[in-house]
Amino acid sequence: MSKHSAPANPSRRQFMLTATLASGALLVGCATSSKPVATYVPGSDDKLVSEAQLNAYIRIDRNGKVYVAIARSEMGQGVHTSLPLLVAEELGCRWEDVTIEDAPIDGEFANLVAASLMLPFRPDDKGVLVSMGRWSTDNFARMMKLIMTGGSTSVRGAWLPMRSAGATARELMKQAAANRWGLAVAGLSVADGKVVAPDGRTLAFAELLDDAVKLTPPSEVALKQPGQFKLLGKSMPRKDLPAKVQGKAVYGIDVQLPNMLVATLRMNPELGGKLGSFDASAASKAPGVHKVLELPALNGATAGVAVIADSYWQAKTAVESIDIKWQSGPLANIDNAAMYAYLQKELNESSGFTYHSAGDSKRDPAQGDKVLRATFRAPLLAHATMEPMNTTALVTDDGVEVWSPTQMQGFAAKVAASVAGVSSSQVKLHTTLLGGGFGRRLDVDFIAQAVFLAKQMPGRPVKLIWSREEDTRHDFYRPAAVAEYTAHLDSRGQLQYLALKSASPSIGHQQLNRLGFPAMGPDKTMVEGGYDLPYQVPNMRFAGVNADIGVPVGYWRSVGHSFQAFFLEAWMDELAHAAGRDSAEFRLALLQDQPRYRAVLQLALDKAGYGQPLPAGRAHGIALAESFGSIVAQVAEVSLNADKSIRVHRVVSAIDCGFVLQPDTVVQQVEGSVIFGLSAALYGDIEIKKGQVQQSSFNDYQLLKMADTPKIEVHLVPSAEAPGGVGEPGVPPVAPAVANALFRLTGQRLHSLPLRVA
Amino acid sequence: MKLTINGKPVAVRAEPNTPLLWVLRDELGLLGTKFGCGIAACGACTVLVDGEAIRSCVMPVSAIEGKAITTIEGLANETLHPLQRAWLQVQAPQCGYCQSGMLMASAALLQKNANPSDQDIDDNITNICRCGTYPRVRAAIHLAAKNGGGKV
Ligand code: FES
Ligand code: FES
Repeated sequence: MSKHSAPANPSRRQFMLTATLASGALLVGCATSSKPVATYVPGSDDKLVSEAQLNAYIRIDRNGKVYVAIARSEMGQGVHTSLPLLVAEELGCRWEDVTIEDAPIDGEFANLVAASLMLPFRPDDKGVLVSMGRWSTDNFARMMKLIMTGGSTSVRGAWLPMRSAGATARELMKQAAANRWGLAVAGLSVADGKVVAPDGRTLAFAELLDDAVKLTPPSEVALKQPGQFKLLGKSMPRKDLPAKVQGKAVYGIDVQLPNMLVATLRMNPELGGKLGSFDASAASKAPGVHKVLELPALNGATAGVAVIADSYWQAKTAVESIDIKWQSGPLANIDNAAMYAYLQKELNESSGFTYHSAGDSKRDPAQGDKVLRATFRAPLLAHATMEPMNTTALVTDDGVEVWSPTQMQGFAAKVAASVAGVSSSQVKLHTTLLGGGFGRRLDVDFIAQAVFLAKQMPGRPVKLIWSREEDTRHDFYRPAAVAEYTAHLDSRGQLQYLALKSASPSIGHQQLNRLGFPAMGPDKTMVEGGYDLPYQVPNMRFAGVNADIGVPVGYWRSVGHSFQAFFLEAWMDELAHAAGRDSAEFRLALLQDQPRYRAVLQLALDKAGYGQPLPAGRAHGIALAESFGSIVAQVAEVSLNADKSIRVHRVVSAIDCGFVLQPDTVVQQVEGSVIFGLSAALYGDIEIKKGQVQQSSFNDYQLLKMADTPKIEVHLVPSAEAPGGVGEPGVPPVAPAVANALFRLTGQRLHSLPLRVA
Repeated sequence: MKLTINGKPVAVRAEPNTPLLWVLRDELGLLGTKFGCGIAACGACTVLVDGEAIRSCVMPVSAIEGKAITTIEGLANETLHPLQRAWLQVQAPQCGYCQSGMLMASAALLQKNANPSDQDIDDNITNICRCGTYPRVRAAIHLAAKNGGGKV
């Protein structure tokens, strides 16, 4: 629950001006310069401040506890530690005194970086168009209260605002102490939650609250330089882990409330199919059952039947016993073959939208050129978070209260309000811990369902829990894609032309529709990982065809990069081979003006011992990919088992993600990304028959286990640049690195995922 | 029905065929044991029954009447179990959802085998972690073994 008051002066907050001083310090215009708001000790005649909300992010109480507002979900990536660290570093408080709390649903906390990911720019694009684009997506995000966690944006987005919030609060404390002591602010410093005078006198922040709330915050503050950091860059132990090793961490599924009921559901196994009729009479009388209800198709969910009972097992047993007549919908005749045939047809027949071109984008081959062409394919994939979809809701006369493991707070609150039929100010949303997110919880279908059920039980909280089977069969899948690459290599083995045409459905359009908005126009996620490539090629064209057959698709860890990086990096390897050149040398030669990419690739090659002899039957494969502001190179060491199954022995990663706040968390995220990427590369394949997903659980949707996990090494490139993302960039290079190693082992070029050696 | 959970006797009302997992979670409020799949495929629900790791989502509560059950809530005594300490030392969890199960499966392994090899770990720790904490879980098991984790 949050105690935040609405920020006082919204117009002030639209700008974040930055300038680098001659001293090297970063001067920022305060993003959070609203006036402090005090809460007083009840009954205190002299109006003692019990706690002070110094700005949107920071509240300090009389015991010196610092509460930092967090508007991003903890789903394993460590934001409950890294975000408050940004504040603590600049504020100068003791790390032990920092606690986090949910931020309110306010445009102040909108995810501007995530909104900017909609813009079809490449990493090196700059200039007026980019600024205008950013300006409009910033405004859109604030207006829509686009509070969300995704796109590896949390630290990137918080890097300036949360440090600036900490610095602003620190300056208030210094000013308050300066006034008390009659000293100049300039001579004061802060340490361990105290302001320190040149003569060694100190005043704790808690003692300064009464004065600080009367001051006007500065309009500009200087931020520390990386060399001055005390907490950042040191790998502080994560704050969420002690509870997680003791079984005390509270995920959505663990929400317990007085008088609570538990619900579960069955949706039409055919995606988008309808509910015909069902006989609820027996289930209604089953032990513990309160209600059997029809569930409409809400926010992208498929229609179904739900049972509300005293406990999950009662609800589950009852819902399984119901005889349901389903009705077919628009996907009744869709299977994998039809889906791929449709993508191929759209690829052939449409020219698509050109996301990037250079030189002669429709180049005819010159004499002596080798013309190469290949068609690539990627399957549908499920998110398979370990914690199945769930949400708890309570509808009363006052409004609706929701407890949810969501990545999408802003829209979750909107949808809860509309389903409950109340105004948004009557929604209280609590974000629990998430047992994995990976993009699945950017959709709000399960939240709408929980509120719908709770509305039938006014005054009683209802916790909706999906079974694993429903979770697997009713995901918003990573889209399937079919793409064609063309290249011209001249007689000297130089790459003269590179063209991609890729067909897949737009995730952005589908998701906007699910949220009730119309959608149109380009969606760069279809071709990201291709059109934004770092290689210098004189003539290029990258086009995306929006081909949507209606299978529900969603954001899946690394989104378009998850398949486009496979297409591009497998293709680059093929081109290197066709040019008679080494895979690494061929890439490095195309990266002359890209020192960061070169350094990352070189580091991975060196650490992996690329080019040195390997044990018999093993080979290295390499891949390089930028995504979400960070560059990752990987070298995979691979062999084949006798049955042609693939064994990955070692994956060496190098990452340049700018300045590293929490080195060990970055390593952890890349380790996890390699494993996530391997599950997809080796096994991942959701199959549809008659509109129904054939996989149902972990027994038939295989994921990597301990015994299949290679040795994983992660190397960080030191950098003082602003931070890049780390939750996703480790995923895209995995599949191509393994595929390229397989080529060296077998001579087979694998153009489809998952990788299968013939 | 009477059960012994984390050393304490408890009486439960659930239907005899209710899986132990849901008795723990819904009736006894022991929420540390997690639901991942319900078909014994992921290990998120792992608890110890008479020292053996079992997947509680497929274990009817009637089948374990009278046996000693240990859940994640009972793993620590006064202080954290050596596995939990090792887990924190190597910063193993990410989302953490699978970690109760990982810890309980590891506790069962160390009780039988105080110094497991990598192969032993591969053979015994078959739980799924979608976040990919396997390398750190492996390192933490070795670390706990070194610190005498099997003898608690
Ligand atoms: S929940 Fe029991 S094994 Fe998955
Ligand atoms: S830590 Fe997230 S599933 Fe294992």
